[in-house]
Amino acid sequence: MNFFLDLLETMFPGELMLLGALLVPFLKGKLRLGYVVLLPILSLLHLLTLDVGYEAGATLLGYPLEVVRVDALSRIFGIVFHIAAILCCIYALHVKGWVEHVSTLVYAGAAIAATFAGDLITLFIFWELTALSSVFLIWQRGVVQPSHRERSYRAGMRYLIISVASGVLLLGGALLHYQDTGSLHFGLMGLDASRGAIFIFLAFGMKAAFPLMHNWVQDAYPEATVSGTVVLASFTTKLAIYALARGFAGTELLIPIGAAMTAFPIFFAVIENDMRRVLAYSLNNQLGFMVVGIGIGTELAINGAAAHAFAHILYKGLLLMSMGAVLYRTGTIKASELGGLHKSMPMTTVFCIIGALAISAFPGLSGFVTKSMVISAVGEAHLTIVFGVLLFASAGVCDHSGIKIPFFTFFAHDQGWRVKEAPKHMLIAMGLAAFLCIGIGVAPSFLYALLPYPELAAQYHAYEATHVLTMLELLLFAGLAFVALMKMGVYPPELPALNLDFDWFYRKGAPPVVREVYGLAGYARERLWTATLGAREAVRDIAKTHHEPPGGRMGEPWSASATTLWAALILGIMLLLQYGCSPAAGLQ
Amino acid sequence: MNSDRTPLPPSWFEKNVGGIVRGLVVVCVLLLVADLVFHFVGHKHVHFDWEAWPGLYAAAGFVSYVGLVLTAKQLRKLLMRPEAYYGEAPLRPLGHPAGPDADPDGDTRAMGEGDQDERDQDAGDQDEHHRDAVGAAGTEEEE
Repeated sequence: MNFFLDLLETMFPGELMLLGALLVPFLKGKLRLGYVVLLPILSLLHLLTLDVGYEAGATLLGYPLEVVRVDALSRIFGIVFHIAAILCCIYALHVKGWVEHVSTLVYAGAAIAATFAGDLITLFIFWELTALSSVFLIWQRGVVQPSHRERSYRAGMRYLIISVASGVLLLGGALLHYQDTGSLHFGLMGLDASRGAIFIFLAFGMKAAFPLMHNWVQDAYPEATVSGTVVLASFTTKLAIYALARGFAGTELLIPIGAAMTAFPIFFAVIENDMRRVLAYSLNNQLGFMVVGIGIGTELAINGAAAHAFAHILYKGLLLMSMGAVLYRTGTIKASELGGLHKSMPMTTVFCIIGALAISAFPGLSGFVTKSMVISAVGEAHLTIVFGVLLFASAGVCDHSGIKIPFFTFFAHDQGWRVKEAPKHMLIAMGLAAFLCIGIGVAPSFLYALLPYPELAAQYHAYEATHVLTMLELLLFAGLAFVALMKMGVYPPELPALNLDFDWFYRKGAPPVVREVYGLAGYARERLWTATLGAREAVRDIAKTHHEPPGGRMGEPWSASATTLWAALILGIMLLLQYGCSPAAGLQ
Repeated sequence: MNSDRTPLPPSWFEKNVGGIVRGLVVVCVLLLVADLVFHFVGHKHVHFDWEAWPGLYAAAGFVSYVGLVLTAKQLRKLLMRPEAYYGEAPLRPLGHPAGPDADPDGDTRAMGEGDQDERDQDAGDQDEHHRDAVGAAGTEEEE
């Protein structure tokens, strides 16, 4: 026993899940399922033993690394990642194979470890590990549903390439940052800290789904397995939110970026037919609120961003779990094929409605007590336009997540589905998530105590009369508008179709262009090679006779970081070119 | 759809749609009244002067919603494409998404084959590629 305690003491948060996952394939049946659920619970207990201020380091190739840094900001994300991991593992208990379980545990463990990384290299390592481990959740869909194989493979490749590209940017940015500042410490930097800061910003931005870099979320997440989508939606984007809050709090550029994120995905959510894709657009919209908060950067705003991320992981997980249960039972998740399920899946219906009310920020539920912080911070900063955009976006959330998801799945026209209620383990996971959504809404002080600035949060009163009244007005009149549009028959019908988004550029637009350019380049290279034969021979002769001594211009030693930087750059370019040309990457 | 099945008896919800809508209208009116009363009697905590106008949030909610939905509907003309646009077979309800392997109860082959065919006919505007894919997937389900 003491041996294990000593071992635990040397572990970083998440390590228990990373290493423990390796045992999963060797366990069988109920033992495996019990172990899978127990592991994140133990890991959470381990985290809770570490006090705020705890730090631990290591050395890699002579560089000192700060592997663990526990402070209020990393702690709250670490805790909610653990809760999400526990819920996901319970939700996935129907999965018989081991790949999904291992993938979930490693992915969640890596996200947790990245959250506590105190330096950019540790961050990079776990940042990449989240990408590499999570792609299996998409590919597994093709394994359990063979007709889906090709589609899953392609979706997974697109996801992996974009995720890895973000990692390449992060590594390149980290090395430039080191050259300029002499430090790999990951703290508040801002855009002007070094030449590398902008690359790090973009790396975080890709994963936080900034506008025009957002489409991988909607492309990949709905293609994963029933439980895989829930897992995917919990970690990567919120890790990016944490990283932005750590490195770029108060960067004003984030305010317009975040405002755009809240507003434009909701148009797509209204007309999207795949319910899990609707939720992926809605995820993008919710991230926008957090990004705005980080951009404002006041204590209230950072509290709001962290609190909203916490609440968001739970209600978004709940909504995706309910949609997963519907997919699991009916075999479809298209709005055009669903309806009337409240008769056969009443409990799932109730849980979904709780999630829908929470995301709409209905008073009494978690979204209300967290989103109001961000909106208050915008008000205090007197950003009129942003304030207006956030109100518009709040009414929009009410449509796609608050009304569309539950209404067209469980009510609307009864499509004649006769299915069983969701399996027990799914109901338990949804029940726990729903309990937390209500619990945070009713007693926000528990969450507020975990925020980065707890003293300020303790003085914050979400249930202030004006705020409750105005929010109810906003939401219920939006609901009234829905009723009016339905009665008049102008609400857009759910149609089996897809909508073009930015992914068109890399799925349809770019590949033929890149192939053409690649072909031309090959031709040009060949011509150049033959045309310059004589000149090259002449140069070679000169080089042979007057070659540079060691220590000359060509023989100058390069620093390790410069070499890595160039290698990362060249590999990144090669990756993109290969992606465009390879039929295996699946771009029509 | 699924006309071969006798419909389930109407649920409480289906019997009371009218009542629910009327309830919503009543609550909305009450909210507006409360807002007016609060405006003249109480003290509103607001960040901007215009925020305190009575009924502003109600109008914002209603107008935003209608504007959003109608704009999105127009966007369909520009953005909507067939499901097989990217050359991939669209997802069909192929019985169990997770396959029999992952089914703890061994039940729920979703709907019967009849529904499957019906759905395929519904999607009659899809191209050859799609129909092949559905055919292939259908045989896999037989196994």
